[in-house]
Amino acid sequence: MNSAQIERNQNTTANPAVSKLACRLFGVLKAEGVMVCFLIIFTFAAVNYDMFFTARNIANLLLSASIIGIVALGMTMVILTGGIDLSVGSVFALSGVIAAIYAPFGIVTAVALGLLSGLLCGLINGLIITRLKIEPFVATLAMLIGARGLCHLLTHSLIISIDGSVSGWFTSLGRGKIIGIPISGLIFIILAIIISIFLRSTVLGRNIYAVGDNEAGARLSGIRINRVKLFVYTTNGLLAAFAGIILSAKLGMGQPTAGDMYEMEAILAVVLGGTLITGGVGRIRGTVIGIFILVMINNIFNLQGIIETWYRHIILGSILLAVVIFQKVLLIGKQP
Amino acid sequence: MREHWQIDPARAANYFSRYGVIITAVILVIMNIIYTPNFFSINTLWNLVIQSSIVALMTLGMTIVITTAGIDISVGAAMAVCGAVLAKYMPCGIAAALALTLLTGIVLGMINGYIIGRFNIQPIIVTLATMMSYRGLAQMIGEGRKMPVEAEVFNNLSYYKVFGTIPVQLFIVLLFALVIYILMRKTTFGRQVEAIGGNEKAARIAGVNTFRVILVSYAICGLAASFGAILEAARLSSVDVTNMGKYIEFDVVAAVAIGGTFLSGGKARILNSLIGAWVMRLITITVNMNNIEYAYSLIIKTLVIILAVAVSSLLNRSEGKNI
Repeated sequence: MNSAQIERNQNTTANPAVSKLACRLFGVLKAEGVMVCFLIIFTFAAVNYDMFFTARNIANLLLSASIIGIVALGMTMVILTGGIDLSVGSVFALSGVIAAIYAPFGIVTAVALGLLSGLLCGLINGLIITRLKIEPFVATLAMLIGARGLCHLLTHSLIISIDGSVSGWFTSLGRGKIIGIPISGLIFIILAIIISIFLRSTVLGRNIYAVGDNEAGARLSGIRINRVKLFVYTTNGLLAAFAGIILSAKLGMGQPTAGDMYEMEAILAVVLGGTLITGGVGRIRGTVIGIFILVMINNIFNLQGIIETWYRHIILGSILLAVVIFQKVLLIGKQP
Repeated sequence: MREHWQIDPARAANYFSRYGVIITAVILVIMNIIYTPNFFSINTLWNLVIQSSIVALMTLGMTIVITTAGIDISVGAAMAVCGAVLAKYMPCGIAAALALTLLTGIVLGMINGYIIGRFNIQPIIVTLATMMSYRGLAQMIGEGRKMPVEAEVFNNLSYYKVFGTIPVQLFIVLLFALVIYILMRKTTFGRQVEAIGGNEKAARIAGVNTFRVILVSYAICGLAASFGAILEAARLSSVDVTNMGKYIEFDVVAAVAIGGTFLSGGKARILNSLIGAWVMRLITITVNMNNIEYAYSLIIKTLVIILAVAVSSLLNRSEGKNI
């Protein structure tokens, strides 16, 4: 034990009140680290940029958060079970493309087929993972390649535009606003609340945590692991498909290259939000805040204007590293 | 005598993970010989090994990392940083530029290894973060533009043939494969890598310096990425910092997976990974030579990965937990 450590120990023993306060501060930081991070960035942006804290900019933030946010909601559930889904970006593009292709046959058919494609992709992921016992990383990596291939196959690598006259409510799904609030943003918030309640207060929701925390233990206590996993991957595919359809509605076209690197952004948001990548620990609220942190950072870069875009990559990567190291150090600090 | 005729699942799993990729390669080649016109010419074979050389080099590095039960998805971005460094310092002389590039690769790999080994954080998250940072770094060095590589000797490297017959790319790949093979099979380091992949805690208790082994593993992976950057830069005579090595990590991981190295770590199959890289390329070449749409090659790749991994994992399951 070196002198500094001895000194620290003496300090803590001499000042129980201070150490208690420090402990509590640590606890708050650990539990609410994302929130603190969010508030710091928010205040920074609001103070430095006049444009930031305006109704229009906030609505834009919500709009850009909603699409990747819906993907991240599904990803949170997958990561809670200790898995990972790399295919969301491709599934996202596939459903958008299918919705665009079938738009002339009626918008309900188009949306239904788009959602169905996501559901099927998720289901196949789940079946490969549970039945063939392939690691989620490999199975969804294969789906990433395969679904992207299907996108190019269906479109011949071209952009499919949706005829604007097809349907009003379809385009309003992506562009519409209710009292200044983007509809897709509202959908995102509502979905977040539903999934949050689902995870907290239903049997299946609790089972998701149980599987991620200790799979063998969950199996021994009678939870049907395979069903839980199948549900999670299918739901994730469905949510990714839904987000893809919203993007198609927003842009008025289906792009085979859409959703590029979305899997990475979604994982980034989930991890920023404090969900452990090993599963079992995490909250939807954290993911939502994580998404907003990402979107705000983008927004700041846009508002700043002068900063080159590549600094964004460096800063995002560094933030992610800092957050995970911070989490780890705090966890280690708690259990010596 | 009776047991002799029964199929022992353990042995079947072992055989499949050892020979599965070779069987796949042979099937692909036979199908090509039958269906593809002009397939069996020496040019096709050279094209195959030359085009696959970058993925093959990085697959060899990745195999070590995956054997430690890790993964490095930052290799593509690390490759871009190496390429940017190479292009930037080429005016200072080829030797200096090459040395600096290799050093960059090692340092980038060591950053990954340091964070993973020191803080014990999931490799996929660490390398996801460094992937973004490295990509930004590459764009910063190249200022987002395409950087020309101006050195005639260097640009002629792609056409150089060792001993007048073997393309230099194949020579480098085989040399690197030999080094990695000896490293993993004949040295203490190789044993320690497999020990960590098998059970990290047990390895640490048994006296393995896990931090150092992990650090070196990722450093080798970074080194392989810098080799890849050098070959790519020589081939194109330029470095596109935004697109160089993008998505290559998926091809590399897939090649390792179909090579029969378990992503859960513990057992390295160096030569199979090499063949895995060739199989990935073989699929693309097959599709190209038959005038099939590019999209099909993606779908065929998917099926091959799933099939190869599924069979070995199913056999593996019937045998027990680990092989």
